[in-house]
Formats: sequence, C-alpha cells, structure tokens
Amino acid sequence: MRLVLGREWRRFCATPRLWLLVVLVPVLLPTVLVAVFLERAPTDLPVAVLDYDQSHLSRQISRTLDATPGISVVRFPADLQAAGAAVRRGEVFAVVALPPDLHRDVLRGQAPRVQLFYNRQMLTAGNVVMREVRTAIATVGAGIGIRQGVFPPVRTENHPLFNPGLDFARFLALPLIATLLHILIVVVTIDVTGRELREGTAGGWLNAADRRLGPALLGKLLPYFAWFSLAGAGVLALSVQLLGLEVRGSALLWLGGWVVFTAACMGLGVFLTGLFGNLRMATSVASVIISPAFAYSGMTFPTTAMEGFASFWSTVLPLGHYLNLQAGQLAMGSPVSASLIHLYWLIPFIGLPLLVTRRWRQLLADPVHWGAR
Amino acid sequence: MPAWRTFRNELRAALTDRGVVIILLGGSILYALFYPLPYQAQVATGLPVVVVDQDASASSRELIRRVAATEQIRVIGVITEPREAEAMVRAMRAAGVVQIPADFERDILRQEPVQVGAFGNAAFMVLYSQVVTGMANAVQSFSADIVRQRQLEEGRAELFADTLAEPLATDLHELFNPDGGYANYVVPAVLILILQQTFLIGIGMMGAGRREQGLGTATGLGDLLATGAAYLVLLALLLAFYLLVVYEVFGFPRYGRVVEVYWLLLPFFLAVIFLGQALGQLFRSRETAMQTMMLLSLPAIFLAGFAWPAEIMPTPLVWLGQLIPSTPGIDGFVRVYQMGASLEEVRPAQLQLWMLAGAYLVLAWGIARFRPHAAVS
Repeated sequence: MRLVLGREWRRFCATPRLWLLVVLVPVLLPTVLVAVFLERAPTDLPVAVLDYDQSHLSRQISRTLDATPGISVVRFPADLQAAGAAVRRGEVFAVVALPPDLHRDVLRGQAPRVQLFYNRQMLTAGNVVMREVRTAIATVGAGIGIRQGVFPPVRTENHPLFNPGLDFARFLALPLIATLLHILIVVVTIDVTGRELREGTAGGWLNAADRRLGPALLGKLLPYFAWFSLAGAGVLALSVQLLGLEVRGSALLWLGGWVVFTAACMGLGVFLTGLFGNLRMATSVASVIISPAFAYSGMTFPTTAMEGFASFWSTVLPLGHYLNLQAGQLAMGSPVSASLIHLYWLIPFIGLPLLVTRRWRQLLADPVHWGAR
Repeated sequence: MPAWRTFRNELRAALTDRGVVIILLGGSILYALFYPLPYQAQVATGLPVVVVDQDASASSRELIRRVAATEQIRVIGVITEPREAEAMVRAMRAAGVVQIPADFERDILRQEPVQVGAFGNAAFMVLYSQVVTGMANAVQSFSADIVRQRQLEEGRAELFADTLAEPLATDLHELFNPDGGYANYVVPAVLILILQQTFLIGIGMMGAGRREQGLGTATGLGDLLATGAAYLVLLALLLAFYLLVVYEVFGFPRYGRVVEVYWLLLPFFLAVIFLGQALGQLFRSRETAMQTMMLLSLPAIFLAGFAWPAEIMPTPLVWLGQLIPSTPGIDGFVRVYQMGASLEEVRPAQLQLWMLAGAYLVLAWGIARFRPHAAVS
C-alpha cells in the first residue's frame, strides 16, 4: 500500500487540475458563499405607496411603513398602472394603495381596507414585504382601536425558535457550503479513480498494490479521505465562526458526521466509477444524483411536504441526511438520538463499492476496459 | 469551408458524440423534469404542531379546534408541559408549538388582553412562516369572533362589530404566482440555469475533445458563428420543450408571451454559446468541463440574486454575478414569462445580455487566435 500512496502523491503533484480541485476550490467557493450571506437580513426592500387620501392618517401610515425595518417607502405620485410597471421592472416589491376617504371612514367606523399588491413571484422578498406591511398596518389599526376603546382580546406572540433574528439567509449558508464540498468530493473521487482507466494507467496502479484491489483503492483514496475530512471540517467550522453562528448541540457529533459523510461521498464515487468503468459516464451520472440533491434535502422546502418519488429520493440521498444532522447539532441542539438516525443512513454508502468489487477487478486487470472517453 | 457546411458538421458532430449528446439533450431534459419534483406540492401543508394547553377550558379547546382546521397545520398532540413541546421541535418531530396560557378563558371573560405563544422552528424558513401564519390566522378569527359576540351582547349591529374587531384591515393581492408556490418561484430560474450549464459543458467538451484529438478548433470569426448557430438551434428547441411541455406537466403559471421570451433569450443563448467556445479552449480534457460546471452551478444561482435580493451582497460579488449570463438571463426571463413584463420593461437585462454575448464572442475569438495552445487544466 505504501507504493500506491507514493505513486498517488507523485500523480497528484504532477496534475495541476488536482491541485485546483483539491486545494483551491475547497477554499475559494465557500469563501464566495460566505461573502454572499455575510450581510444580515435584507436591508430595506422598496415599497411604493399610492396615497389617494392625503390625510393625517394616510401620512401616518406612510411614516410607519418607512420606519418598519426591512422595507422603505418610495413615494409614488402616479396611478396603479405605473406602479404595476414599477413592480414588473423590479423597482419595488409591493404597492400599498391607501384608498380615498381612509381617514374619514376609520373615524366613522366603516372599516376601510388598505390594498396591498405584492410580488409573490419573488417569494422570499415578497413574503418579507407582505409580513412587514401587514404588521405595520395592524399596529396603526390597533392604535386607533385603543383610542376607540377596543383591542383584540387574543393576540399571538411570535417566537422564532433557534433563530430570533429571523436571519434565514445565514442559516442557508452552511448547508450550501456542505453541498458544494459534497459535489467536490464525489467529483474528485471519480476523477482520481476513473482517470486511471481513461488514460490506461490502471495496470501500474494495480501493480503498485501487488495486484490486490483493496490496497489499490484504499491506498489511492485514504489521503483524499483524510484531507477532505480535515479540510472540510475546518472550512465548516471556520464558516460557522465567520457567520457568527453558535453550535447548540454536539460539535463532536456534527464534525464526526462530516467525516462519515465524506466517506459516504467517496463510497458513492467509487461505486459509480466501478459501475460504469468510464470517467465521463460516471461523472455524468454522479451529476444527475448530486447536483439536484440540495433541492431534495429539506433545507429549503420541507421533506414532509414532498410527494411520491421525491419523498423516496429525499430519504435515500446521503446529502439530506448529513444536512439534517448538521442542522440538528448546529442550529437546534437536537438530542443525539434524533441525529444518530441520519448517521446510520450514511453508513451503507461507505460499503456501496463492495457491490461492484468483481467489476472493479475486471476493470483494473483487463486493458480492454481502458481508454474509454 | 462554407458557413452552412460548418454549421451542419458541428450539429452532426455534437449529436453523434455520445458524451456530448447525453449532456446537451439528455441532461437538459432530465434535469428539467427532475428538479421540480421536490417542490411539486408547491405549498407545505399539514405541518406537525403540538399544543401546550395550560388552561384546559372550553375556550382553549375551541382555539385548538381552529388551529387544527388551518391548512398549514396538523395538530399532533395536546400536552401541558412546555419543555416537552420544545424537545419535540428540537427532535424535528414537531414544526411548531401553540402555547395557551393558564387562565386563558378567565382573562377573556374578564376582558383582559391575552397572548397565545406561537413558536415555530425558525431554522427553516418555510416551516416557520407556514406554521406561524396558520397560528396567527386561527387566533385572529377566534379573537374577532369574541369581539363580535361582545358587541352583539351589547346590542350593536353586526357590521359595526366587525369594524371594531379590526379598525383598519389589509386586503392582500398577490401579483403573479397566485398560490405562493415554491416550485413557481424556484423552477423558472433553475430552468434557465440548466440550459446554461448543460450547454457550457457540452460546448466545452466539444472544444476540449477536438484539442485532445489534435484537431484544430474554429479560429475565424465566421467559424465561431457557424458552429455557434448549431447550438443555437438546439437551445431554441429545448426552450420550446421547457415552455410547452415542462410548464404544462407541472402547471406553472405564466403571464408572458413565448415570442417575447425568445427575443429576450436570444442574446442569452449567444452569450452562453460564445462563453462555452471560449472555455472549451481552456479545458485540457473533456471531463474537466463537466467537473467545473457541476461545481459552479450552486454559486451561479446564488450570484444571480433571485433567491435573495442582490442588493444585500458585497459589491464585487454583484459585479462577478453580472458577468455570468444566467444572472440577467434569469432576471429577464422571470420578469417576462412569470410576471408579464414587456421587453421594454426588461430592457436593461436585455442590453446586458447583448453586451455579454459580444464580449464573449471577442473572448472566444481572441483565445482561438492568439493562444491556440492555451489550456489551464
């Protein structure tokens, strides 16, 4: 196995592509993502106010809206048509129309209604604007109610658990970094194994391992496993620091989970190279599995709401299990037992190459399989 | 070689290369059908919520009934211990907790204001907003009914009672994406990204493959345009498949016109093609194109700023994002097709796409002409 290790080290040193993939990318891409999400919750999103009332009350509403964190008021003299165009052009995310006689109707107790048109295509920003505008108007309304001697008998008090600042973007950064690293690990695993077949050097590889498959694969992959376990854990831990997140559960379980996940990614990679015996094909199929994996992970849209195949696929893919383990230990302080289940789901992936050992032996021993592109 | 022959040869070469055709056609079609699946439900409903009822009165049971009746929430249990409820959220067995305080009914009868705790798992945006919205709606209707009842008991008209329940109300009008669907929000943007990534890979593989086999790549401007036209045809056909089949299969709403989408995306396609031709000369092997684009998809979608308004990103990253065709491509496409914007209203995005197309054509041509043996990896 020592021969395989030495051989791999020489190959690595002589391949700029591997330097880029293994050393540069794990630093560069997470840096970009951390930078994207470093800013706190979105600063003021523009909202147009059409004031058809021009009263004391309508101006009070405008001021309250402008003072609301998260939105800023763009005064808009024109009509609803022009305001609609401003939404389509992306200049504002919503239009608040204050109807004529608003003030008079409130005083007469005729329950006037403020009209809010909001851009729901931009779901995240649109919902923030909608929530803020509704709250601001309700606050003004409650003030009027109290002056008239009425208040709502029952109200809700919102408690955002684990994320008091409702800083969702920051919570997305770490799952995305882990997702990038997971793509990288699978890509590199397939590259270092599949490239030997493509370039017809597989014979030398097998010879260096005394023609035994186990030492050949282990000797080649252990250095990458050690590196990605350590570097990945380092990048994740550093990102947590930079983003100002705190570890609410067990850091050991979280980073231990990362190490197991690294092994699972490599298991998947070795399995696919073995199955297809072709670098290009294995990479193509890996892409189909891992590129959309984030959408299936439940980090953006809950897995409980997925249906049919999507529900099945989200349970099978390793990424979702790691990300749920990470979210549990990092953000929520989940009990160990809840996260261990996800860890168990990862372990079979490490053993996945065992299914294709016979095929791997053929691939390495018989030059017929070499050189396919 | 006449341009027509160059075009035909490139089209034939791309379609007969197994590795390339799997990505260009197979990838574009498969990903477009595969990506929307997790979001097919559009809205997360029936999320598990546990109720902490410390009052155990007729009023608290009525409130629980209303919470359970909201579409967002499925009540999975009524308990009395708040800590136990939070533990259930931590273990991801519940998405939220409704906490009804002791003396809930007594305070209502005494006309003292009462607060109901709405706890949601805010580590996940969709979970939190759905659960808390459901709770707020239930409590609001419960509260309004109490006011209505009080006013009627005092002998006032029902109309006036409504007013007092809510002196100033907001009517919500959703512009576009009427049901607030998650797929409607994400998938249109992802479709544009898929076309960009698969064609950058495919065109890059063609370029790298030619170099590997020692064949000369297109060097003249005319050759670049003629080979590019082959990919333009494929992109136009795939876009038709997306707009006609994918949109139909998943029932995505649309407010724009297909013709305008084509006009808008023409420079997007050109920018992608020329960028692919430029990159193809830099990859040393075919697979590198694939590996690179797999790693860049995720950053590209976030640099596009559709998931979160671009204003909040650091300026250098905003600029970097503006160099990627998908950034103005997604922005323009979503505005035209999902929001019914006219081409006039997306002029800046369109202009930017033409500029990118021009710049990448010059880049592809420059690399071909001055660095015929350039390759980084």
